[in-house]
Amino acid sequence: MTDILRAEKVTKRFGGLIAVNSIEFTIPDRSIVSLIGPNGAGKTTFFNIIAGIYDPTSGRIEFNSRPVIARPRRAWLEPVLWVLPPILLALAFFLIGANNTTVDLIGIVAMVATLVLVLLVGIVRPPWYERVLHRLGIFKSARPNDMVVAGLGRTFQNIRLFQNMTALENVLVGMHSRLHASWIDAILSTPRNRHEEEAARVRARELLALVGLKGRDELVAKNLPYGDQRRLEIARALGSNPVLLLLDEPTAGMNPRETIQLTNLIGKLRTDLGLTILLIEHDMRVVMEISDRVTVLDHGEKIAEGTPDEVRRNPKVIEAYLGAPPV
Amino acid sequence: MTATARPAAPPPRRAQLSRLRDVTDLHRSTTIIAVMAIVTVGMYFLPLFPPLSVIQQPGIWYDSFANAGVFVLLAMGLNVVIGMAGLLDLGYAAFFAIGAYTYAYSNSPFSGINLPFFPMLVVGAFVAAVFGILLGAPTLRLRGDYLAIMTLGFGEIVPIVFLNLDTYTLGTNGIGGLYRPEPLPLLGPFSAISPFNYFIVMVGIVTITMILLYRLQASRIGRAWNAIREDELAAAANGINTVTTKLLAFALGATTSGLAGVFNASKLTIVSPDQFLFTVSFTVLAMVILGGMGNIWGVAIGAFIVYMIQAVLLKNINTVLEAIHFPAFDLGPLHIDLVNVKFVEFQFLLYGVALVLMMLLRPEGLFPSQRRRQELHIAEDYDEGIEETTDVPVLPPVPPVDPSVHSGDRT
Repeated sequence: MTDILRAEKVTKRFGGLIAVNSIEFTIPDRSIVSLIGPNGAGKTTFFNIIAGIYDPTSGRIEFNSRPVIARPRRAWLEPVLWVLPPILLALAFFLIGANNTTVDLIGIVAMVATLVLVLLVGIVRPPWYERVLHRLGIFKSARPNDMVVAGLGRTFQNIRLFQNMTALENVLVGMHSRLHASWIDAILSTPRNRHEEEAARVRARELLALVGLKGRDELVAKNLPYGDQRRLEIARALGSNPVLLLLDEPTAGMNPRETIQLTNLIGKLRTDLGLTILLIEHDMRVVMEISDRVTVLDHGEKIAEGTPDEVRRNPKVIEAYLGAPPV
Repeated sequence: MTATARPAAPPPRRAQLSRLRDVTDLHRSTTIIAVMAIVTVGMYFLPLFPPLSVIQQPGIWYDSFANAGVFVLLAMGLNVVIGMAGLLDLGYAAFFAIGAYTYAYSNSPFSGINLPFFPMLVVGAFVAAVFGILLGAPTLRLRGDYLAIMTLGFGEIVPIVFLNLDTYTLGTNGIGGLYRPEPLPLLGPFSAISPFNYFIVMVGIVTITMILLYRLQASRIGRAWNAIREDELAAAANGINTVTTKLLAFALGATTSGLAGVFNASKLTIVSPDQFLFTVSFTVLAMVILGGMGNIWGVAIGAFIVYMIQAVLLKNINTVLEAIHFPAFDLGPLHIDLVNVKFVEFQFLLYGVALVLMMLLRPEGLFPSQRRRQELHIAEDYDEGIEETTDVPVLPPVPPVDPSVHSGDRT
């Protein structure tokens, strides 16, 4: 079994606080790995680093054996690259035709044109541009949307649905990175755009049915009951066809019956869709039932790792949760 | 949780309306063309008959309609930036100016070039888009207030640049004597005396722009804008490249503005920096808010109404009062002489009053989009939602989450 994600010595500091301290962590393909720990242990911070929201202070993360996340290197060089060509061009024109209005005008136009071109390239980031950056030793950590394109889906601890959009639209937004119609396709209403849109709607309805929201496609997200909102968030994350799904406390605030249903759903996601799942969870019944491996964090450090049974008997874990036994 | 939703049967009138809505949704472009054709015919005939023909000559009405069209275009473009993508742009007039000056360079004795009008519409729009990207690229990483300040600055800089680069722009005097567009087949030449051609061309531009914007709104891009407006972090975490998507909104807004600029320059035959001051940006913003942010046709109607009030109604109150010799009357120390009140000068006072009333009574605008109404009227919608899903078991309340622990999500 290969590892889908490998974190090496990941550290994150916020000012003087070390939220995550030198964590080594791997997620094998098609497994369910849980991350547990008391409040404030750094679980969500670690999660956000994997999802590309924070850059780590040090260490790196490989996703599908590709280094995607690390502390940015020589990031200051990139804006310099953008501004340099227009300035050089302007200087050149100035030297050639000082006091000649026509030459000046051409120079100004050329400068603006190059600046726009360079900025566009810098924003669209075609592959050759990435190669140039790599050659110059510039490394930019992946942003959240890059991670989604690479195959990672996530949910949030405090539900972050698009409240005023319908359930179907929420899932369609989740599918955004897998749709390819450009704005030109959209304004020309090309066959490609229409077919893609129809197929996307069919797929979105399937996903909603999969998580148990059949027949609620047209309801506005904020009007859904709490449990359904959690399910909708999972459906939205599945929209991008992820290989790794990060679930941040998926059963928080649910009653026992709903918790069992959701646990079954998570198991089904692995068997039916072949997903790998990383779970943050406080409900130990859920964790112990479905996890292949459990990692325990406390104060930003990994204190235990192993099968659910091993972790349950680990004295360090008991101490972290219940306090040290009296001497 | 296996319970299925049972939508309550809507009342019959609503059912008919929603069936009509389904048809118009399915054939949106056709609907827009049909509606615009009816509106155009109405606009053509109404000024010929009494209530309107008394106020102004029909020709002047067509002229006002064409001018209103410029603001309709501006408002629809700003609606892309503010209403759809949720980016507050206070310097929108800058792109209007760039479009206008582009036309001025291509069609004036000053530059000695005379290029055809219709291709220049596209070129002007393109140049404005380029400047939209130039401004947007470094600033769109900012959010909310900071973006507003940056755009405000850009909106101030552009007219000042045109004012001070007087070798290239003739400074305050502006570039005058622009050539009018080539004559249209059947309708004859464009001229200041018979502005009917401008009116027809404007209707065409507005119709096309509207169709394209509606298509964009219904597409994957429109959904992405909506998602960014609702929750930028969640949008990014769902695979939307927020930088390029916002930049696209900005550039498309600028494009529409540039289009309006080219048209306006060809109609006025002069461009000068004082046509593009902050008041223009502000007026367009007020139009978008009054019309109903996010709703394309609502914004268009809002802009049309506001322009007609400011340019026709206020101007003609004085004329009408003078014509009927409205008497001045004394109320003790108060001497009221309405004939001498310049109503046109009350334009911005009226905007202020209208906006304040709007925020109090109908914050979503005159013709809001479905979505905005939902955002601003939480309670009513909540009741509706509960009605539709009555057989869902009541859930226990969410346990409070310690905010200090998981502050990580709220970046």
